[in-house]
Amino acid sequence: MARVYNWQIGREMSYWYPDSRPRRQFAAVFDINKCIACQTCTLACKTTWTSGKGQESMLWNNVETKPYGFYPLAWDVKLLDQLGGQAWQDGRYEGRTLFEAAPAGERVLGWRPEEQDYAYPNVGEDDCSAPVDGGAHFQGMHEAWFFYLARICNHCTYPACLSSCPRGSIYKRPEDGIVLLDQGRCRGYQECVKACPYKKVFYNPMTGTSEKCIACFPKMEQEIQPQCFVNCIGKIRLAGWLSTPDKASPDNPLDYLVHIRKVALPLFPQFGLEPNVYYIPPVHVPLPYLRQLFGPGADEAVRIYREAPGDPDLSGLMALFGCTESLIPRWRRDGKEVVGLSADRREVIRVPAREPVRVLPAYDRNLGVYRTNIP
Amino acid sequence: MTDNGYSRRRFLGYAAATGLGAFVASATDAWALDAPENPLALYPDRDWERAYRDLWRSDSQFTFLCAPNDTHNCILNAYVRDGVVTRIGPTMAYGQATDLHGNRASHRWDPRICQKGLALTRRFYGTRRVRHPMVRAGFKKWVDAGFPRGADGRPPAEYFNRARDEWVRVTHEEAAACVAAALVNIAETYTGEDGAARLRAQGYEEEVIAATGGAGVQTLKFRGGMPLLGMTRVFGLYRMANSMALLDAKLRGLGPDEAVGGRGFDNYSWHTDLPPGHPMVTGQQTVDFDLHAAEQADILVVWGMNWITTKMPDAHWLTEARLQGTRVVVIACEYSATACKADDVVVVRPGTTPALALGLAHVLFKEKLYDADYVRRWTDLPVLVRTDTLAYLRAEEVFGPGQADLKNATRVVRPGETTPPPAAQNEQLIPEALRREWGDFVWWDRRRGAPRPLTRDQVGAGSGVEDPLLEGAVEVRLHDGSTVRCRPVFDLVQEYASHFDPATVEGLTWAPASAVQSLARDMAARPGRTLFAVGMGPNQFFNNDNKDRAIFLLAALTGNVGRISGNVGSYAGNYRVALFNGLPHYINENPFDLELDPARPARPRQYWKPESAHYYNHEDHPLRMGQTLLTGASHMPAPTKSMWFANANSILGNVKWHYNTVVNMLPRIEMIAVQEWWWSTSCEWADVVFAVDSWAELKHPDMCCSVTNPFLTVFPRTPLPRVFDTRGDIEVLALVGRALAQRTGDERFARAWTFVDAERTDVYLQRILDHSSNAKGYRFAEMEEKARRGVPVLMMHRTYPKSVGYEQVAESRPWYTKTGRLEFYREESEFIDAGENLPVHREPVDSTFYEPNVIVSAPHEALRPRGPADYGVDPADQSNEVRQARNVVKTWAELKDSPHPLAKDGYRYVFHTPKYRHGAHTLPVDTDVIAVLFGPFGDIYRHDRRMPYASEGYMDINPADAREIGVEDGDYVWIDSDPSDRPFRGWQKNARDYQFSRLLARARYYPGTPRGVTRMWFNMYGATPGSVEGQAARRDGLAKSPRTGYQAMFRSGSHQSATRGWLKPTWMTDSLVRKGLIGQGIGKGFLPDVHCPTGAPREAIVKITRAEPGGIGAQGLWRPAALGIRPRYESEAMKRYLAGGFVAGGGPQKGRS
Amino acid sequence: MKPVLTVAAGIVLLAACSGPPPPPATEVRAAVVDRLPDSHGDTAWSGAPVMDVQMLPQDLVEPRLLAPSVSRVQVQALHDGARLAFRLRWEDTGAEDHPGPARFPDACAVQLPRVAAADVPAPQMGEPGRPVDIVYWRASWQASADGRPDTIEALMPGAVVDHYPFAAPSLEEGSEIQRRFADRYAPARALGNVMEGPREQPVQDLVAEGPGTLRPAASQSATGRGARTAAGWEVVLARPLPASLGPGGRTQVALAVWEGGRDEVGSRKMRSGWVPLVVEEAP
Repeated sequence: MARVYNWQIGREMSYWYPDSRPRRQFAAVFDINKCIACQTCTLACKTTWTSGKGQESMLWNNVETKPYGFYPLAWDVKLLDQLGGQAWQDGRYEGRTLFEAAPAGERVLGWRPEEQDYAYPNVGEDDCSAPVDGGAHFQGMHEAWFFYLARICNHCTYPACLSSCPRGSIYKRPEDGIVLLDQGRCRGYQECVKACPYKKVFYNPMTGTSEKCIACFPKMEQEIQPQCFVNCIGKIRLAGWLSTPDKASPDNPLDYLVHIRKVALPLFPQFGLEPNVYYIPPVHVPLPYLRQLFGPGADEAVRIYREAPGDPDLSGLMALFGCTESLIPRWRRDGKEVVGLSADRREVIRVPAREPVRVLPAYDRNLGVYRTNIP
Repeated sequence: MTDNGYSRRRFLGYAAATGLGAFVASATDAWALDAPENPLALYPDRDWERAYRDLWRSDSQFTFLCAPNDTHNCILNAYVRDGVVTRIGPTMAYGQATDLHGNRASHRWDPRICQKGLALTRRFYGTRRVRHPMVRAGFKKWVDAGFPRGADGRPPAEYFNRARDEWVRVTHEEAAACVAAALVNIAETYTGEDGAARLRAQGYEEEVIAATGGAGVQTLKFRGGMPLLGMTRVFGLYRMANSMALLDAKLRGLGPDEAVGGRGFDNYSWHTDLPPGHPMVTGQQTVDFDLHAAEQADILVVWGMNWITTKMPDAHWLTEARLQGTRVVVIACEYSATACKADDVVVVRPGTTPALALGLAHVLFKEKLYDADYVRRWTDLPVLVRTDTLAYLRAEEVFGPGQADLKNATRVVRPGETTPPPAAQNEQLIPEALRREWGDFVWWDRRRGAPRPLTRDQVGAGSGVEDPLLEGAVEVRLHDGSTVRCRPVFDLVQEYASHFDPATVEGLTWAPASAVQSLARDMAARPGRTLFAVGMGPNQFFNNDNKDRAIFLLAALTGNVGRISGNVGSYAGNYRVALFNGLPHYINENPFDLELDPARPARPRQYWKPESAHYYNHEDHPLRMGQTLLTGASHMPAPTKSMWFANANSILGNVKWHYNTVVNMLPRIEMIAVQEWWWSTSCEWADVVFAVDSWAELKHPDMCCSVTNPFLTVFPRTPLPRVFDTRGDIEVLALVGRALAQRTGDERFARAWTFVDAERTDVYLQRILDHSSNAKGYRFAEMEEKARRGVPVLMMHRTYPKSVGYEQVAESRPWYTKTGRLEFYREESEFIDAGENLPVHREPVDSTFYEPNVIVSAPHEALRPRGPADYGVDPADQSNEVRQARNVVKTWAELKDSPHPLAKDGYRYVFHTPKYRHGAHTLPVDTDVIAVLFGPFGDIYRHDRRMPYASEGYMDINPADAREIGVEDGDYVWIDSDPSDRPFRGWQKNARDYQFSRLLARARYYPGTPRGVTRMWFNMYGATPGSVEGQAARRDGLAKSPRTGYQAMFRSGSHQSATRGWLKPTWMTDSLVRKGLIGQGIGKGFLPDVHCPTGAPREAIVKITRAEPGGIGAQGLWRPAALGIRPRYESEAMKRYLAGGFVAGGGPQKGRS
Repeated sequence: MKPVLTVAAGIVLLAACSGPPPPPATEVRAAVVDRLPDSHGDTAWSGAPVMDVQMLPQDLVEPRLLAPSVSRVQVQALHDGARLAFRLRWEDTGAEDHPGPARFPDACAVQLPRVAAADVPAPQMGEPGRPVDIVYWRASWQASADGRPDTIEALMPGAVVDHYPFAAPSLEEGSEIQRRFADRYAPARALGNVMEGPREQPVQDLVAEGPGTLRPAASQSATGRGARTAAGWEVVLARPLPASLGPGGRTQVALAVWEGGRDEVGSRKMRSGWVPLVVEEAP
């Protein structure tokens, strides 16, 4: 085991391989407050990548309702229970990561879902945390609540799948940090399926190999965002490149949201994988649950997001989500408009933070027609 | 661990030590020797990545339009590989849409798509695709036998074994010939005196027989489906109905001036999408606003609307409005999906919306928080009502003869006077007779202490009503010297609303009193800054018109009608056909006088008659109370002998009270023809099924637009070759036209479709554009070219966002009512008799724990309804037929102690059936990848063979309720509604049909629904004789018909097993004043999609009985419950998880950064 | 520390080999037959001596097998001068031939050093530069070879699938285009890495040069056939005689078995050390 630094837990930790960060790291921000669980992302991925035999119940992208939704069944509650209590102190994780908690003979603490655990992929849909037995009025923080959690592979900085493969058939691309599983070399041992805490590696019984999200690398190689981003009609997603905290730059939209405003947080940072999908936590959900999922930054992230209306930069940047399929590694606000830029700062997209109101003339002289809202 | 971790390297070290260093050195270059040293850093051979690059590649792409009835109409990209559409995606080009002036939409409108659109390849290629035309074997025999009939005209039953019969594959021409022959024969059979005699012998009521006027063609019913889903393709069926006048002319030997056409069923009102109270308040169809208006408001009240699930591509306007500071308030009868996007959530009892709105209005009255200026300028609240006749006081009664000369954007039309076409109309056109009937009105000027006349010109800036008497009564001296006691509408309404104090409202609606008070105060604090987005939920209750009138009252009192930042919107269905008000140039082109020059306009003349399909849903009966007929003459249905429809499952397969319709109504119908590309429940019950092109294969372009977004979108012709033996919908119409020409010898039947045969349907479309107010100026060819690039154009609405009422408020134009104002009082006798001259609260007609349909009120001077006794009906009779016109008044205190008549028999659960994210009207939950994600029971591998499909219908129930009746999470339950008529009349004596009609479904523990309230999502294909037969016969247990491949989502029954057709007297008046469907002309009485029945399909009170355990093969608990991850079944770990108990400590992140 | 010990053990073994001929019970003798039996039940096997091979858990590299399962395998060998066949028999409680998430088919393998020499590589999958040749059999492959259809319904009888892109009616059924279309949606197959799916032989020739280096041999010549018995499995594995191993020759053989029911897969297996193998000369 090597020692590596994981900034999300504020300390060094042990990992199977020595540290080696890619030249660029694929990363994403998902705004949970905008997710509508329409499953368009799920279908965009499925109809593109997993329409084959043996992949019928395989969802590289899924959306589940928290707290009662799980795909596969019980995935996170089961692992949290195995890992036991997890303590944070001043932003530093004092508990054990999955690598540090690995039992004898194993490289990672994990568990293997059974075939039936992939059934009911939308179990818990819209189930709220507590009974609403009659009339009620919730304001701000809801006493009974649920929210939607859209999940893909986190293309972790320290992937458990990669470390667990006895054949070394899973690797991280130096040019973009995307984690791939070599379909030409995998022998279907399912060690990665067991090791990935997010359960985003799947075994295909018709090919006999394990398969996983590829972050649509054939699209990313053309500077286009992945399928589950471009098809997201909730407009909750933005893909890009994330710097390490020390190199954060405010005109990089991901750096801005993750490092500078700290409004977007990793999912289960305590697992120790340094996942690269960052979530803006739901503002209506009690904080203890949010800290459990997103770490100690939850309190501050909720506060900042609630204040977005008075914050033209933050609210402006959020309006840019989902407006273009191109990658926009740079951005800026231009008065009431917000602009997405390419790496070489070419203008790629420009939208108003608030759609303008227009009134047409009642009579069009040239055409001799009256325009009306009550035709 | 560390030791072992290093062991592999030690091992290699050993290898090196044994003299193999050279190999180790080269180990990372290739696979020859070793696994990569560090796959974080380097991977030797990445050539395999080509496999995924190859999977991504496509040969070509094209665009097509996806337009189910969800109002979005998305132009999508289809990606083709080896000739197959392999995947679908958004065009991302809505941001390039411009209007005729060059104004542009922004890219915030992109992407526009959804999961149902992405799954369309299943429908294009799947086994349930209608692959070729089919005729039911028995029906073909009947046709081939020359239509044998009994003495009463009925066809012999043996030819009509629908849904159990075999099917025969035929050519399109053969199918068309069958349909043409049947249309002619049926029309012939029921024409003239002989026809009337036959109908009489079959037991039709005299009024219904008389409605045919002796024309057999009037028994032929056509339906095009929702207007905006395909102007020529789908709405062409009304053009077909119009051409039936040729048949009538032939059968009765009449000329073009006497002949009549067929009948066309309604759409918007049939779907219960019409909010019937909107025309009662505003005099026109519906008030609404484009959804991107959300970010213009301070408060957005989402009322009984599950916005994020039913308006998915426009959900971001709601979530992004919050980022701009809009406060989102969700009012729902559960903790809904949209509730999780709300700043405020108010959970209420289903069907109590009128009471809640009145309660909010009461706070405004009591605390004098209402917008007095808006009340004076825009509402009838200052108008005086006579306390003796309960009619508006007329100016002529006070000031003597003479009526004002109306000038404000109004023109009084004398008989015979011609009026300009809709697109050239800028004035309201009021027939002289109506204007005389209305007269002018009176308000009481407090400054002068005298009555003042009020004309409908006096609105807004020109109101002239400065200091009106609003509270109290006055004695008014009339012109004839007598005096009459009058009260302003305000005073009558305020008194009525005073019954709905916060405590009463909390008891009645469950909305906490504090919420009612704070909400009302917050809306009043910023007048004109609240948008009310009202959904289908409250509209599908029997009291839907009461709901609209009460919500408009609340909105008017806070200045929120007709403003971009403050308005009322009703959201259901893509309805406003008037957005293309040049439509008559297509559907009503005179079949006797066809224009065959593509460059010249058609000469419209309407021969067909519209009719509400709710009478067909009521077994062709109008509504009677005792001996009194309560269906207005203008609404009267004709017998339904033939039904032909396209692109719509809602009129048969998903009809409310479906099982009664197929068992008791269908036997009266002699032909059912369906145009479909997916084998729907309607196809199961049809006689002829035309196989038509899917959206991906359209060879004739079409167009549509929307009531929720500003886009005018084209269905472009697509390059995809037809996959099966299909034809375009409009080609089917042309084929039948030709067959009718052959059979009748009248070539005009065929000529009516000349431009179809010439592949020039764009001629019809251009004619519509050229004559439409908000589309004139667009060239269809250019729009189609843009659509091929995925770009729509912007409708030329007056405002962006469109906001109905903008002109009324911003330009002080009258509404389309008698007074020109928003009318909260209804003086017509039908309303007075119903006890609804005021905006009252009625209890739901079935979905209530209390006495159904009761008018809740304290004794009120102006409420004098005709009670059951007045109709000669036993006041104790609460049977469903009687209940509809039962006008009984009770206070909340009295109502509390009057239980629902079936409560004692265990019918204790409100059962409602809302729409959801996984299905839209014409795209129900019925393909594998959609179904597995539908709710908690999806399992594409079907470990439990009882599952009818990859998922199935289920009922959400409050866990405490379920425990009480011994139902576990995931169990199968029987769901039974009122046994007197559901699932169908006479089920007690008909086991054969009861077997597929009784609702059997899974129950889910659902914490978000209150006690006593259950829910089943709308729109999954129900069980049929074939699906039940299939489930028993097939080894895999799928509920799939062995004959047709029809796939049900239920083991038996469907969500429509519990629903019923309902008729409400106030939906069927001859006197309500309202604008015509298109143009500015005003009339009164029946108008399809504006003033006619809507039904109440969300109402049912049910009994629930455990049927089988939920575990696989009926063994034990359903697995997720057994695993301890379900509500009420939580394991210790799950409990800790819910509390966030796995993590300790928090505080700001300090780590290195 | 363990691996070093093993290597030491290996050396001990080598020493043993170079000594006087060991008693029959400690080596596998491949008798000569005219024609190699193609089935496990062939009477030819009854004549062949049986060696009882002691199995050990693979507990040297992660992931390790901590709990021992199949403790002994009965091995026999025959040859016809060109090909060498082994019959392995072991007890295994539950037959597992169904691939799936957290489901692992039973399997076994026979390993020979590439070069038949006194100095053999470490029994743990060989060593860098000193390859071992392995013949691997898997119960799910046997099921496919025995005719289990290549459909999801064969594995999941209740499955309901509306559509696969390669099943579109506009494609010619069974055409080459359709076959390639289907393979695109099974990348491992498209790359020739057929770990499940249709196959003639339930076995595969593999080469390894140390843990984690296992790869298919350049050419596939092994044959095999396994069958379920009341108690466990009987599997016949045949391959060409190694070039360096003529009749009368000696080398070492190692075995491995995986009990799928116990989640044994990859390095989680029971394995043997090197066992002497004698290829008898024709009488």
